[in-house]
Amino acid sequence: MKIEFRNVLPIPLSDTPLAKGSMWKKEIVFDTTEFHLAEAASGTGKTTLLSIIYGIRKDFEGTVLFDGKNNAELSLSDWAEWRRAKFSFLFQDLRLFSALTAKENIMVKNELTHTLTSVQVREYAARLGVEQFLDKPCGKLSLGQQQRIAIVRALAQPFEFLLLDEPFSHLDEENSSRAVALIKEVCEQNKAGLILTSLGPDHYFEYKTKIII
Amino acid sequence: MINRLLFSHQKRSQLFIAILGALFGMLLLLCSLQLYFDLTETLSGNSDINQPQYLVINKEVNLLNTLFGGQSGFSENEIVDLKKVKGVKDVAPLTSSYFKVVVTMGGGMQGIPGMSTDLFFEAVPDDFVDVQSDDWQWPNDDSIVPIIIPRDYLKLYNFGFAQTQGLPQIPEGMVGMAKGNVIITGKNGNKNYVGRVVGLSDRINSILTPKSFLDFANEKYAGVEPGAKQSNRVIIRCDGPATNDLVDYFSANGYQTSAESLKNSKLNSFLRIVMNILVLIGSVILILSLLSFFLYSQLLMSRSSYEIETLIRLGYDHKKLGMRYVNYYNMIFLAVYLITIILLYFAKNWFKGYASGKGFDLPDGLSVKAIGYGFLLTFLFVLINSLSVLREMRKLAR
Repeated sequence: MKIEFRNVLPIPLSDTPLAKGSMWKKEIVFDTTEFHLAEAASGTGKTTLLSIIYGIRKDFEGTVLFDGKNNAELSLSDWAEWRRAKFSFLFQDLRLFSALTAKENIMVKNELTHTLTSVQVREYAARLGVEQFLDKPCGKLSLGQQQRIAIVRALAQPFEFLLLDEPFSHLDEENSSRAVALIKEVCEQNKAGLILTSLGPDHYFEYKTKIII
Repeated sequence: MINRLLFSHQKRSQLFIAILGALFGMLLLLCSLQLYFDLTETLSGNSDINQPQYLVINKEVNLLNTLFGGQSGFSENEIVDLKKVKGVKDVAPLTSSYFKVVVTMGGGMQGIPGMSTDLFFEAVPDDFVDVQSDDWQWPNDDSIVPIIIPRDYLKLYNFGFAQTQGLPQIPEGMVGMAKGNVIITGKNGNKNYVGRVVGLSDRINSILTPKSFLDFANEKYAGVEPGAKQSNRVIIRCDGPATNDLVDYFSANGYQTSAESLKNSKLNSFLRIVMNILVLIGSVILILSLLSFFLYSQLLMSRSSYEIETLIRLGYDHKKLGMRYVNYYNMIFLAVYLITIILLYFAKNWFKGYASGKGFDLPDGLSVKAIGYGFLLTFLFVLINSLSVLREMRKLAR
C-alpha cells in the first residue's frame, strides 16, 4: 500500500512557522514494506502525523491518499475495518485499560482479529520479558512493562503499516533491542511497512526514508 | 470483557434510583390512564349520563315581553344556529295549538265525577317522543286523538290532588283507559274528538298530540299553516351530556332550560377535568423520570469515554459498541414495563374492591388502551434513548 501526503498541514500548526525541511505542505509517500522514520522535537506534530494516517485526527488542510483514494471519504465503519486489518498503532500514551489484566488487554484486540493463539501471546510476552505479568492488572505494572504489553497488543492483528509513536520511550537499551527484534519479525511476516516517530536520531531499524517534521 | 469496560463506571445506586423513578412514573401514568378509561367506560355505560340527552328550551320571559308583547319565539335562524353548537345533533320546534281546546271527562267512568278544563296541545316530530306506542299515530280524520302527558302530571294528580279531594288514584297502567272528550273551537269551526292518553313522558313537559294531528287542526280550525308561526319552545337532542359550549351558548342567548338536566353534564365534565389533570400529572412525572434515566445513560457514556474511544481506536465498530448499551437499556425498560403491568394489575384489583365498597362498579381487568399506551411510551423512550446513544457513539468515533 502507498500512503501519499499532498500539501498536508495540521490546522493547529497553521499559525506557527514551519521548521526548515519540514514535511508539512509537501508531497510525501510512505510505501508498504519500507521503514520510515519521522523525527522531530516535541510539539511539532509527530503524533499528529500518525493520527492523521490512523484517522483519529481530521483537522488538517490538504489531502491524504491511501493507494490513490482520499482518506476523507472513509466512513467510520471503514476506519474500524482498516484498524483491524491494515493499520496497527502503538499509542504514545499506550491506551491500556488499567482495570484489566495485561493478558486481557492483549485479548481485547486479539479477540477482534483472531490473529494470535494464546501460546503465541505468551511467547511474545516472554520474548519481551513480561510473561510473568500477564495475569496482573495493567494499572499495577510499571510504565516500561505497560509499554511492552502495548507492543504485544499492537502485534495481535494483521497490518500493512505499523505506526509506532515513540515506542521505546520507557525501555532500556536491552529491552528495546528485544522489542525491535520481535517487531521486525512480525513486520516481515505481514510484509508490512513501519513508520516510527522519535525525538532524535534512531538506530534501531534500517530506514528507507527519514523525514523531519 | 468488553461489557466490563463499557459498564466499569456504572454506579449501581444511581441506576437503581433511575429505574425506580421510571417504574414509579410509568406506574402512576398507567394507573391514571387505567382509571380514566375505567371511569369513562363506567360513565358511558350509565344511562343517566351518557346517552343522547334531550333538552327543552325556551326564551326568558321578561317584563318587556309581557308589557309590550315582544317576541319570545325562536326564529328559523336561531334554530339553524343552535344546530351548529358543538354536541347538538338535532333541533326541532314545539308546535303549539292555535285554537281553543276544552276537555271534558268523567260522567260515570271509574267513579270520576264529571269535569271540564281548558287545555292546549303541543307537538314534536315523532323521533323526539320517548313513548313507544303503536297507538301514537293519527290517521287522517280519525276521531280518536292520542295524547301523551308528562309523568309528573299523573304524580301531581295522584299524590297532590286525588287523595285530598277524595278521588281515586290512577295507576300508571290504567292511564290508557282514561278517555275524554276533546272539544276544539277555532275561528273556522269546531269539532269533537275523543282524546286518549297513550303514554307518559319523562322527556317533554307538555301535553302532546301527534304532529300530524296538530298541523291538520291548526290549519283547519285556526287557519294557521304549519311553520307559519314561531315556536316558543324548541327541543334539542345532544349526543351526550350537554357540553359546556352548549351551556355557555344558552346563557349568552338568554335561553332557559331545566337546570336539573344540566347538572349531570357539569358533574361529568368536572370529573373529566380531574381525570385529565391526573393523566397530565402522571405524564409529567413519567417524562421527568425518563429524563433522569436518559441523563443516566448519557452520564455513563461520558464517564466511559476513555474506554469507548480506546476500543474504537483498536478497531471496534462504534455501532456495535453502541448496541451493547442499547440492548442493555432496552432489557431494563422491557422489565420496567412488565413489572409496571403486573403492579398495575394488583393496583386495579385493589381499587376495584375499594370502589365497589363505595358503590361504584368498575369493569374487570386492565384496559387494553392503558397497556397499549404504556407500550407505546416504552417503545418511544427506547427509540429516543437508542438513537441518542448511537449518536453519542458516533461523536466519540469521529
